Amino acid sequence: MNVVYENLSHSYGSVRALDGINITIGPGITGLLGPNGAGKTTMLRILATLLPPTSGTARLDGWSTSHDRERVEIRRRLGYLPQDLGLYPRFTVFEFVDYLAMLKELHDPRQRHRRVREALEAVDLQDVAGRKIRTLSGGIRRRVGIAQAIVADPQLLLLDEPTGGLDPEQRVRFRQLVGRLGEHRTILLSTHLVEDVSAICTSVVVLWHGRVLFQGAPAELRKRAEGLVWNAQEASSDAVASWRTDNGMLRVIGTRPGPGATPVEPTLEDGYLLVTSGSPTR
Amino acid sequence: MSVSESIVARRSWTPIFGPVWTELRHLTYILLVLGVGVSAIVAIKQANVAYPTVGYDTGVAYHEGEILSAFLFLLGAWLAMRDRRSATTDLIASSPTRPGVVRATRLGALAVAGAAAFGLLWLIGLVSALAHGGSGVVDWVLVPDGMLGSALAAWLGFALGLIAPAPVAVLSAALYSGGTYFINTQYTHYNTHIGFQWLLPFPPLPQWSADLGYVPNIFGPHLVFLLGWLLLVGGLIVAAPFRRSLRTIASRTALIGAVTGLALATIFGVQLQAEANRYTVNGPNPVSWVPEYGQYSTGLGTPDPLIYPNDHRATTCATSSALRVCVYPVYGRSLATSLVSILDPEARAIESVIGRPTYVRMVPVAEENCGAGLGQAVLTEQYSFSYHYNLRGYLISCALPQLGQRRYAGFGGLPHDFPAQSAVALWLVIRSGELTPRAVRQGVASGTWASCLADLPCTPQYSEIFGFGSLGWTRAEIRVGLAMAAIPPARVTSELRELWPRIVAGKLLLASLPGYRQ
Repeated sequence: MNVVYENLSHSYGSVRALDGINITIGPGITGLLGPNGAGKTTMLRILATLLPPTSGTARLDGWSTSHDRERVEIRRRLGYLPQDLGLYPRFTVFEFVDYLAMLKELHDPRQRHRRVREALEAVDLQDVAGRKIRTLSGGIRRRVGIAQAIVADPQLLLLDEPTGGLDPEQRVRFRQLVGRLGEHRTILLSTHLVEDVSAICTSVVVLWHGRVLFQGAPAELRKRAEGLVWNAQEASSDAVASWRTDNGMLRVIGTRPGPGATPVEPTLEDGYLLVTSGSPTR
Repeated sequence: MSVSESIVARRSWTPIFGPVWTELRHLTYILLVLGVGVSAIVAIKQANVAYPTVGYDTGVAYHEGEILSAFLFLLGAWLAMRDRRSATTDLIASSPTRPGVVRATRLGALAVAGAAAFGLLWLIGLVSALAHGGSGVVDWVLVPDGMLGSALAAWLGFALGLIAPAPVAVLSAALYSGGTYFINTQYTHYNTHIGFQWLLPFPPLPQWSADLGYVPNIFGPHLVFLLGWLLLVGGLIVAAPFRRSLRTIASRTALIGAVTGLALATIFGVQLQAEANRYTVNGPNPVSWVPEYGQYSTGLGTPDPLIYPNDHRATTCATSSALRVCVYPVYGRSLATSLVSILDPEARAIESVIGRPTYVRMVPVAEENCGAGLGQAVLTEQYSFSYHYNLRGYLISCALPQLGQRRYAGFGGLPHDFPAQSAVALWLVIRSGELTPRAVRQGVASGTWASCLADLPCTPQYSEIFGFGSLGWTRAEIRVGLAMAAIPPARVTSELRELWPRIVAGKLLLASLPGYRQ
């Protein structure tokens, strides 16, 4: 499924969260990368039909979020994991996912229950299916959120900061899961963690103050930094960014290396920092 | 998993029933249990002080739906606030089920929970009635009416919970329940000319009869009135999320429901309000009612008491030589027999003076009056028949009209303007054997007598003597009463028979009584 944002803008009062976004996103896993306040969540909420844009349109395969009936068609194909995930504490894990499955129009109880079980197995929650949500840890709750998002087999999956609150092991498992899901779906994954994008995304969109700074494959973003990343003893005055690494050297991103600097292979993070720094590559 | 498996079933009722069932399983049961528990305890306590009938006891349980409503109101508010408080609003809103439908499922769950809770309360009332020997028939119309009233409370709470924070909902639940209780008990309790009480979800019980049901019979319009309110509240709740797309079938249906509800609530509300002037549609025409002590009571600021005419429905009777007591058949002969045994001593004393037995008949919810004529008295249904004390002095006060009026106005409500009647009353009480001259003299000698009459601290023993029913005596009246008791009864009764018309008219002076000069 294709997601199209056309001249999309959104303002919260006088604050412009999105400023004329024009992008098309195809099947696969697309990472929305940007700092806090870049507009990632606003983009997802508009596509999730929760927020009407101030101007412009967001479409999923031709269905616009601006039309009532088309919104329902989008929702029928949507799985959404919000950033601030809330669950019903008195429900068991199974009941909660089952309830959401009902609202997602899975009405046949037998088949719906099978779907719920499959979703819980996908996030490795089958053993806690009967436990009340209020007794679960934050990480497990996050997985319940993912289970409800995938229970209706959505064609579009919106994941807003999905790895927040997960420990490293859970994060790895989550990446494996999303990688599998992304084989047949369109997934938009909002994150400020470059390693998430690096690990699983087939494309990346870099947002900065409501604008798209970059859209392309992660390799392209990394390529932007080629020849601009150095190991040096000291930072040059015009370096975009520099930080000390575990070998005692400074890693410097910039066009003019300092004395004794040696070029190194750029990472996705280098590309991201370069793109968002307002450097000449921008 | 694939979408083509299509387990999606659109355009059916399935989307409603599944979530309704889930919501029902997860409603806060503690509120339901507490609501049923508290209201059932109050109902059982209240019903136990009245003569047991299935009709009255279940009526009491029905009326305690008022207490249950506070809990249901909170339950509705809790459900409405749940998404907001658990931050699941986005999850629910991003599902393809329209918000109006989600709300409809929750209203459905609340209606079922409210109706079930009321049904349980009513059943507890029924079991309680049977357990303590109640007989008679069940007024089935109370069940749907109470269920509608309960559902309405839950829906109103839900409506409030959608827009207000939790503290406001808690306060509103208290106001809702407390407000209806206040109107019921304080405002309309004895006022037969106001129809406002019929607009309450649970109309006041004092105007409910185990024989006749509500007098007037409001339940036709009251059921439709409540239904109208439910349609209005439910329609608005469901339609609200559609406000930007009122072209859908669901939104139009909800709006039509709300408008229909408004029309029904208005039309039948007006009709209910007018019922105040048709106080006894099941009984005699109110035109035939006559004021008992009209001018006298009006001067005291009390409502005009009316004598409920004999509707010939009190047909289950028991008799003694001085008394005939007839009650409604639902109360059974045992009540009539019990009343005869309680009232017979006074009836004998009265009969010795007026020369005829007293006829006591049961009346429905009309105000409690006894002056139905010479040798007649009426008893309302809501008497605590199981307590002998409540009926002590009753027939005597009925035989002496101004004293009967004092009973109606409440103790201390009337000045002692009829000392001859008071003194005769004391003599009748002593003659009936319910008080002894010695006990009266002891009370007077100890000074307790004055305290008791002034509602000051008064030992239980003397409270019973000097607060005999509604009778009470001044020192002079006691002196004459005791003097009369010292004279041979035959002589006193003979003299009183001659004086009786003037005594009853309140025109006889204390000095004219037989014992005055002794």
